[in-house]
Amino acid sequence: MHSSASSTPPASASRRLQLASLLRERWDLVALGLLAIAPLVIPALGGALGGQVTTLFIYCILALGLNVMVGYTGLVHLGIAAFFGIGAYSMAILTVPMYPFQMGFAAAAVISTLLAAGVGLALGAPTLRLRGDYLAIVTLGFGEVVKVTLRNLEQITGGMKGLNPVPPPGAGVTLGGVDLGMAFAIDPRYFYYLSLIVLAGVVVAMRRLENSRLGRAWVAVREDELAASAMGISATRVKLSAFAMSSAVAGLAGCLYAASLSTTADPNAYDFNRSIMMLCAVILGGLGSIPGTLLGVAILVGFDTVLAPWADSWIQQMNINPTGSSLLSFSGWRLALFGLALVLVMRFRPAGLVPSRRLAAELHEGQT
Amino acid sequence: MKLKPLFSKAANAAAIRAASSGTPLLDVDRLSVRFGGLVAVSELDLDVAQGSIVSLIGPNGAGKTTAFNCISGIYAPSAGSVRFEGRRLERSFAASTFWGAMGVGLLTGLLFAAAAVDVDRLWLAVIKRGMITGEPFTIAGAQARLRGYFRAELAIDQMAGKWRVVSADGLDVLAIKRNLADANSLRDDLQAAVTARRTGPGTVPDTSDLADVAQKIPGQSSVLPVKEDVLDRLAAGKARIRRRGWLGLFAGWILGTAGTIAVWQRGRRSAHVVAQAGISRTFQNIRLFSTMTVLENVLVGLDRSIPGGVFGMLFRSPTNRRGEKAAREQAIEALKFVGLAAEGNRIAGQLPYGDQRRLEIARAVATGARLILLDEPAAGMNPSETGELAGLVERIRDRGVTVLLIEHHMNVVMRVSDRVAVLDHGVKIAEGTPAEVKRNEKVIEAYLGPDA
Amino acid sequence: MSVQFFLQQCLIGLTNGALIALVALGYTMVYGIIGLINFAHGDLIMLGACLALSLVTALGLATAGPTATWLGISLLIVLCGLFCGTLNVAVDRLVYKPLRSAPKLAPLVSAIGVSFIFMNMGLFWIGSADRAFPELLPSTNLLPMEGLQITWKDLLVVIVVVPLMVGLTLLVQMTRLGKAMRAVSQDQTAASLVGVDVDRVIAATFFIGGFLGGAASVIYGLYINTIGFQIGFQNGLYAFTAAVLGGIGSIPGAVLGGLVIGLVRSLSSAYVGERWTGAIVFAILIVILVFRPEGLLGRRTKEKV
Repeated sequence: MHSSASSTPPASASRRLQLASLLRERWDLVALGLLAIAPLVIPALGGALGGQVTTLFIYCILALGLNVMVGYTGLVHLGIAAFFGIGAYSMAILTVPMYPFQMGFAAAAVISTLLAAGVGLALGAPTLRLRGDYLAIVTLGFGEVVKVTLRNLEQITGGMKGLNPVPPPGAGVTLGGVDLGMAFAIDPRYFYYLSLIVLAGVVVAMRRLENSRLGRAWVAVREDELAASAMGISATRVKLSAFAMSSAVAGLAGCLYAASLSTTADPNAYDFNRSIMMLCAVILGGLGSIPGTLLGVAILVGFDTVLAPWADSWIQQMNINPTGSSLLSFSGWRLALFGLALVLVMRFRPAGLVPSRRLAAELHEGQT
Repeated sequence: MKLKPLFSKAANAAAIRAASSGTPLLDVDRLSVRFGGLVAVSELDLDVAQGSIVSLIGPNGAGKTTAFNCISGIYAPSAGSVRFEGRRLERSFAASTFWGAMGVGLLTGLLFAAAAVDVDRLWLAVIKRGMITGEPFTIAGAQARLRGYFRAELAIDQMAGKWRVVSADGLDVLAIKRNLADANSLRDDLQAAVTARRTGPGTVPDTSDLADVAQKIPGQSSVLPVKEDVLDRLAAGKARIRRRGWLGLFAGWILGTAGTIAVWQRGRRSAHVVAQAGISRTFQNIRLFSTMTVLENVLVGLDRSIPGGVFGMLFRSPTNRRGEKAAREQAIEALKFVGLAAEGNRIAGQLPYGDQRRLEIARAVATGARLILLDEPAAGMNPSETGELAGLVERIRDRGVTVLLIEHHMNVVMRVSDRVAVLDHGVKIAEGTPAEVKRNEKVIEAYLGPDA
Repeated sequence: MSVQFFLQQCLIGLTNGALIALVALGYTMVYGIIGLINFAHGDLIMLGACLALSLVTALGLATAGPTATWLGISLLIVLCGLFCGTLNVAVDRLVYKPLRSAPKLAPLVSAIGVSFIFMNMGLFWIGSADRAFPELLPSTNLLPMEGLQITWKDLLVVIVVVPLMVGLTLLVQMTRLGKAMRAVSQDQTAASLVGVDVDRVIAATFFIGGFLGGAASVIYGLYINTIGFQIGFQNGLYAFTAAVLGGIGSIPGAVLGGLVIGLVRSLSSAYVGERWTGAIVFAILIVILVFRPEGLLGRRTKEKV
């Protein structure tokens, strides 16, 4: 920080600095550009990989929703998966052929998102005055309630079978000679682009909120609730708006999830594990930081879907584990490695991998 | 003690009356605060006139900050009242509170009722069954099935070319007939038999039982293909489901309403209500939003001046943009006012101590408050900074904002105050102009001890 | 449904509740002293149960006579208590201690991480399938009544839990350590200024919480008779809920919360259906917190201004 002022860096270094600052300042456009070209360049994205990346995008949306509550407003939320589930199931109920509603994708998505926000409001209104950790247990409990309910209301939710088939977006719509429904069903790249666009939209929305009245109020309440309310900000209302926004974005992610899998899957897809993974992603990446959150999700999902299978197959190839003992397989150690990674990251980077600029400034201040 | 106005309109009228009759801007009346057995403030009376600077002084632990916390709504007083512009600073029980509680009660009631009548079966009866039997979904059909479910009516549906007599949710298949007429007649017989079981001694048939089927006399020697216990169950089911539905609705309604009232009660005296009424404050141990920039801190103070809802912010509506721009200008103005205009983009937590205090003042001024409470604004400042601060307090007053000040630097207090009140052990021992207070023997005793 | 059935369910509920309360104490003590939701506590108890199972097999308790059985159970409780207590202290030293001044959520995530590590250890220890815990105590009815029964297992819970709780209360109220613990939970800096060794007090708290958890794990095995590497989460969840319900940080609160949760669980399983139990417990939690936001016995804390 202090040393660079004394000497002028050489030209090449300054160019490198420019590139670095471009990556830092406009990482979003660079990433969006790369991701937008990727399916045209990498044929594998037209196959199963495309579906996996789509799911990754959807988790990113979910984590950004959670980030509103945990990152901006500083409220621990341990039940985000419940709202993910509400979005997915409401999407399914509104579109599956076995129920009479059979709406189009967009209408169903809007209704599901609003429904998730409404449920968030209904849960938040009586409980948001609770102290932080009490709220955490309420959200955790609500997550369990939703999971149990989804599992037990078999006539409505299909129980453990879930609801299917959720029709793809644009079913029955023909655009430029292409039957959109068919295209979505056959080529994963359509969903890839759809969720990429939604993700980009959510990122833009989050940026705008960050720099608006509401975003400032969120952070103010996180920093000092009492001072914020002495400035005339109703802390309850601000927290409620964060809760609703979180729930809405999670619900939207749920809609995409159900549509992209064309099923809601079973209720266990919306259990505590998913909530905790998302929370870890947000905290690991850096609270209140959009790039941090995205990176956190990428690392956690990457660990599970890319690294673990790869390491297992490598161990098999190298014939290290001829007896098939779980002690010598990577999946056997999966939980422990994951846990260890969480512990180590928190130990050495307690503010997360990419702390938000504000938080970074404060920590820097704390050290000097 | 006067009766508290019930509706906010009445409160506004009271405020207008008070303002015109020369009531003080802030009227603290016999305010007492106790923490357990400890009396922090005892029967404090204090009037603050519009446009004046009033200081509250006294040795440490005299209860000054506690009094501030009461005025700004952070603590609830144990006794006594605080009036601002003639109004008590708490949310009144308005009509909207009432309807809100009723609405939440109704929602909770419906939720409970849904759980009580088994929403799963209800869904099956009303929505899913129509789809299974292949009839087109209409609102009227759904309504009919909904009624049928609550009346535990028997229904007929077609499956694989045969007609089945089923319970309302379709889970109980009572009989299968080859043609519709047979099925209809059997359904009527069964319904009558069920009704007969309900019209035993002590029960009165209601209209739904009489509708077009009950005329049939039960026991017409036609042998029904259903066991007695099934009929018993069907007969009992109707009463049960209605009873449970009403019970759920009622219990949920009570719980929801009571819960809303409890939550409202807890939040009725809170700092933001006071702040929105026009009182702002600073804190003894600076409470800035330390990871936000200086400008953002002030913008938080201006929060309420920016119009537009969430969608306005998301889509950057013109109203929202104009509001943000105006707020930004006002924030810069407030920063200029305290002399921090150049620091706008710095992180608030990184400012030097004195600047942090001034930023807190800028934030309080920006809220547009008509009364500002300054809690030891000069604490930890050197003499030249203290002098600047005294000037700043006077300039706040010159903007037409009334100031209530807690301060230990006597030169500041004596220079700026119009009136000074002295607190010792929670009791007001003197009040008057600075010169009067300076001469008061009780005050000298409180500060220096009885021997001085 | 008869009165006897109701009483029987209450009895089951109270016994279960006592067990939950013992686990809840571990949560509430750690929370009270460093404000951390110790997510790993449930999995710590799972490890305790694994050790208990291994010890039962090693000592051959399943075939021992009555005296030896009781001696063995006492030994198990002490050993598992020491094991869990020591492990808890070690985790605190290695993981939570470096994070004392970190942002509030960092230790929480670390605790989640530790819970994953524990789970993996349990997986290696007893495998992924549920294991039967041998029935060491006869399940004969001790009451001369039909329809209402108390077995040695129920009695065991009472014999172990009540003295432990009384002991804990005495410890916190009467001893120097207890006084230091209360001081640290109020204000760490002030406590250290008057000469309290804060780190030692925190370690002691972790040890006591872990010891109680270890004792609970043995009773869990003997009472429920099935253990698996995933029991930590579910039981931890209920125990933590009990701690919050009673008012987190409050020791009598944790006990009361545990008993309430135990009763609600058994009654709702009996009258509404097992599958709804989880939903009912949390719905009741939410309702209670709406009316008493600080929990049943929690103190209302006033923020210092």
